Amino acid sequence: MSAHSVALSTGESFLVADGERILAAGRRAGVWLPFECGWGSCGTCKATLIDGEVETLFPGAPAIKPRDARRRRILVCQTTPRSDLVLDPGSVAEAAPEGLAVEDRVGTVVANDDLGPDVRRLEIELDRAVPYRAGQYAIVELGPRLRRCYSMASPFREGRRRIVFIYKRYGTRPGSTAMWRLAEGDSVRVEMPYGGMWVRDGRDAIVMVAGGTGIAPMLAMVAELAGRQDERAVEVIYGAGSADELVAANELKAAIESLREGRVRLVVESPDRGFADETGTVVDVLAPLASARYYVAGPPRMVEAVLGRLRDGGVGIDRIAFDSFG
Amino acid sequence: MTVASLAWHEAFAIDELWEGDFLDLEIDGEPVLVVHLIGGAIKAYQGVCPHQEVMLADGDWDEDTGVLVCGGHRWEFDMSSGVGINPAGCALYEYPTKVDDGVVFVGVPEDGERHYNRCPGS
Repeated sequence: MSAHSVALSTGESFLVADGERILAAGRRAGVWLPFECGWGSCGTCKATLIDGEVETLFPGAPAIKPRDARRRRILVCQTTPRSDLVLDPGSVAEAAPEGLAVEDRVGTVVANDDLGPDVRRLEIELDRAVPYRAGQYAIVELGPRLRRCYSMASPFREGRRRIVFIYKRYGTRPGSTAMWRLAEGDSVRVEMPYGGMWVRDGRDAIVMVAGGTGIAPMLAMVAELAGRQDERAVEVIYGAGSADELVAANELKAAIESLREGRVRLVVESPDRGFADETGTVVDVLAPLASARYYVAGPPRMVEAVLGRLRDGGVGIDRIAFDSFG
Repeated sequence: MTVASLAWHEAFAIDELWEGDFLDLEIDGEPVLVVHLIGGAIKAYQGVCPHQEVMLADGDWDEDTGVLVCGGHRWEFDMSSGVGINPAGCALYEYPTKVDDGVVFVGVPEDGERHYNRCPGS
């Protein structure tokens, strides 16, 4: 397999194998280029291409903007070299950013069980434990150019190699279909941890807003808060189309009950709400509180609607952490 | 209080920086964003977001409202003043500008400091 050299304007250089992503190759060589999300959403990793040819592995990445081509800005997390390159990354670090000590691991599937309609819980035993913060996610490699982000649904504990994902199958879409096919004993490559959504310190009340499988990072964060006997008030607003799609609701309720001050609001769109508390969408029932801290995860459209509601309600963007995976 | 003298740096020919657009450059190692607002005013600000130093020139720009949204964590700035809209209470460092003979110049105070504001938040 051929390799290309990447020389940085900051002085470092490293080799990138054919098809390998520049960000990952740098990390494997001990050169930490700036990054946060790892999959093309935030744009933190954009670098200026001074010389050479590249190929974008995810042309639809949300962070790719029309202006980038003219400014020769490339997303190093989703770009592979097609020749030797010279890049200006802005800055480089010798160590991982706080909370983002990403590792490449191999995991073995332990279970892939039904949790609700088209929703499953995937348990993977990693070859070695990787510390992460509750609320963060992993990028799972499901095939050539097929990588997907999934949040860990339980908090990290020292030495614990087991990670749990909750995911939904979307029709015939390749990522979730590949997840669905995983069987006990299968091997999967996992890069983790990624993401900037984790529980911030402080005294302010916490509001978590989750849609569908966006409940996964909330389960991890609630369990972490309970584990350290956090005294803050925590409210989780959890919405789905119907009651049977409110997966892990009982697990959530149990975790909330172990908090000092916790409350769950289950919201469904269908009028036959079963055991849900309210009817509508999470946006309908959300009453923005400028003094609270918000954590939001779910389908992109839901997340956008919640962010809009919070913005209109006077909640500063600096009080909101969110994840949305398309 | 002493006021540092300014060193004027040539940034762009005005023909390169169309009204409603912006360009970025580096001056003595400082990233700088130069904006040509609708209506004609030319402004220069620190080139990285005060939050986590993401390049503002990578953000989403609405030329009609003059609002720039940083791509990193969606902080919003009014580029006519550099004032933070969301969150409020955070502003970009603003450099003086002048246009001379069709060339945009950016004035950098000669005070040995790096010119930018930080609002790390959390």
